Amino acid sequence: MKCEESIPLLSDFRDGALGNIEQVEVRTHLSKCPPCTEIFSELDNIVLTAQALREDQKMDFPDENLIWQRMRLNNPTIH
Amino acid sequence: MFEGLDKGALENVSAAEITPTDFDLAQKSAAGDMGAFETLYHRHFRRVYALCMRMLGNPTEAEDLTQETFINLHNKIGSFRGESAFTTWLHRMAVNQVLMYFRRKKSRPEYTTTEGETPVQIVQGTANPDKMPVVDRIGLENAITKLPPGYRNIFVLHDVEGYEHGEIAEMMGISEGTSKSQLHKARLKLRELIREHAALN
Repeated sequence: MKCEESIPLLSDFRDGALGNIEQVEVRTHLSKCPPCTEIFSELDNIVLTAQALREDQKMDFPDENLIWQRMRLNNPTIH
Repeated sequence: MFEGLDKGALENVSAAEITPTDFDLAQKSAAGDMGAFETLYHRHFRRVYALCMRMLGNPTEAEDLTQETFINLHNKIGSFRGESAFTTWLHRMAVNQVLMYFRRKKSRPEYTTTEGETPVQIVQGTANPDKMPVVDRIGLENAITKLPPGYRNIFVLHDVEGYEHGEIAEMMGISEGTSKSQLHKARLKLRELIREHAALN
């Protein structure tokens, strides 16, 4: 397998969505190709960081009380 | 009255009495209890806002869509029967609200055709782990906001929110194959954006 064949498959490889043969072919290619391994590692880091964001409460949140008030003012059904 | 129950069990009993479940609150809300609805709102506000913010990429639209989601929740809360977790039900509602908003805006994201797609440049690696940019939470959040909307929606739904490709395909009206290929392009684009940012700093 060449780099240009391996790169489009890296996400499916990471997510375990490839068939057995392709899974082995990509793994074999990565074992011999440091540049593709680096791309793979970076994609993997992106996914792991994204998964950690799900439970992350460190975003800048607006004042939820203000939004609640505005919602009630704009919607007479919420009274 | 509580014979046979240990202290821990008693504490659990009182905790359950003090903390109503989402289902209890939903039922009370449906019966017109605004206090119960307000409790649900505060309990779920942050997760709904975070989802809207990540899908939309800007705080003003995220606030509007969070508000629309809770108004929609208020209107439909009587239809929540508790078959799925309330959080799952509410999140699906928020996702649909945001996707409808994109359709209203007619900002056709790139997922429908291959034409006009933002080309993803494959930046070759250096094979030097020391040069690999660190992917931190803030760097990734910033990069997500710079993704084209089509890529951003699929990345946020799959990698952040944990939806399966089948669910994303159904919600967005695309095929599973398209969802998978767009996710891969989104991840490559994020890698490119993170590398660009690292190079500037």
